[in-house]
Amino acid sequence: MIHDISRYCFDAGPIALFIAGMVLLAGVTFIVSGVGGVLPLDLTGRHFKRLQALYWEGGLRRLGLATDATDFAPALAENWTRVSRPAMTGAGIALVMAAFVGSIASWMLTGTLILWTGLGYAAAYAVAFTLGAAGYAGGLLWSVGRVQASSERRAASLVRRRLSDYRPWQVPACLFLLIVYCAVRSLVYSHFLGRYLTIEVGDGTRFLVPNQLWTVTILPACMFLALLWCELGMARVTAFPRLFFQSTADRAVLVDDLLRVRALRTLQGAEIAIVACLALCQMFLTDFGMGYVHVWYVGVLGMIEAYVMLPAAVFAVVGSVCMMSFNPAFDPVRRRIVHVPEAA
Amino acid sequence: MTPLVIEIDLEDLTPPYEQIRDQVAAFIASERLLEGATLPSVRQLAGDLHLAPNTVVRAYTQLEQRGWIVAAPRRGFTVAGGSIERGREERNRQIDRAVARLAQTAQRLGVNPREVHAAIDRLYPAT
Repeated sequence: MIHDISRYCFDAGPIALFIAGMVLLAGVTFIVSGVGGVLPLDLTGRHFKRLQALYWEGGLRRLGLATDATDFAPALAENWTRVSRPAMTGAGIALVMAAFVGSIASWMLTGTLILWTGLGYAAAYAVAFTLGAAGYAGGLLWSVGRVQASSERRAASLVRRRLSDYRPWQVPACLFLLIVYCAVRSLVYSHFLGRYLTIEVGDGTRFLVPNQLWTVTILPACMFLALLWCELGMARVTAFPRLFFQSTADRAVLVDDLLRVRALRTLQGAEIAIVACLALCQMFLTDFGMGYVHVWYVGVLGMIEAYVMLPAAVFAVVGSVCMMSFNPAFDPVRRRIVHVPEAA
Repeated sequence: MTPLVIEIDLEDLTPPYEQIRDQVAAFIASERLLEGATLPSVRQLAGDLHLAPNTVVRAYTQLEQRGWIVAAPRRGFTVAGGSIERGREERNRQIDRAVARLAQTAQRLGVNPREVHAAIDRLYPAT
């Protein structure tokens, strides 16, 4: 017998609509922001370009690469625009599709949009981040191919590029440990959860899924696949042939490194966000039953563990979102840079 | 300090693999690439320069045959030991050859050494 206590606390219908609407709005915003780079139109004015140049100037200054060359930051901004706008458009299209497909799926399964609120809203975030990152990566690949086709000069750095040059190996190692941890704790908890796992949605409705090995491990498996997919994507970005050509070859190499780091940073942020959201999903899938039905099995340590994991995962999501839009001042670039560009 | 950047000039009659070979050798000779330094993978360099991988393989193979670089297992190509000395000798040999050609041309044209020095100072000023 399932008691829908929280049904009386609030009605989740508007919340589900709000979440689906936010995903749709985010998608439309990304498309509008990115479409200027896809269509042969310049939708932005001089002031916006100046702001972009200031953004990159700030990044260069933080890297200790302030240069007298007045065209350097605008060139960085322009090159980043050429690549990032199609990527943003791709992310926007994927988010719009996510909003429609998620809503249709929820409607077909439940007759409402209520599934958007499932597993403490973490499922919606996981879907949005995953599809958004997929769209971003797709747009990035498309734009890279387009820019490559238009580049004329042929210059290359004799410094070997590795993904580990751009971000520490501890990041994927920590994420892998998190996945293993989630899988182990779920397998342990599943012994106490009876025949069913509970997926609670926002209006207090609970969907029951059988407590079997595949239901317990499917989310850690998805986390692992997401990690693998993001790592492969970042390795692909690292291996992108050099693209951007400025007045001199050495400047081209610096610009290329800065923009590569910016793209990698976005994908790295998406990777952390996806894995953290799926960890939250897994936590809500098992801990609901543990916390409310079999609390006496969990014990004090189990409760502490659960209450540490929740804020840690939320912190990871928020931190990774900040990382995606962070300044290009990124320490690994400093390691790779062997030369400060001279004034033009 | 200039970065370790090589550039291919497609209008140059020198084949691209020779351009790569000579530029890498020049970096080693000038001690910009030190012993044990790892060169970019064939795929990376070929992609960056928009060349076929075989072109880069040919350049690396010639550098290896001349003792500039060695193929290390799982590390790719690295700068060989003793290549700095070899580089200095090669650099001196190339300079001697170039100066000899310059001297022959100057003699043929009847240009005296002082004019040759002035031309060198003009085109390659000491910093």
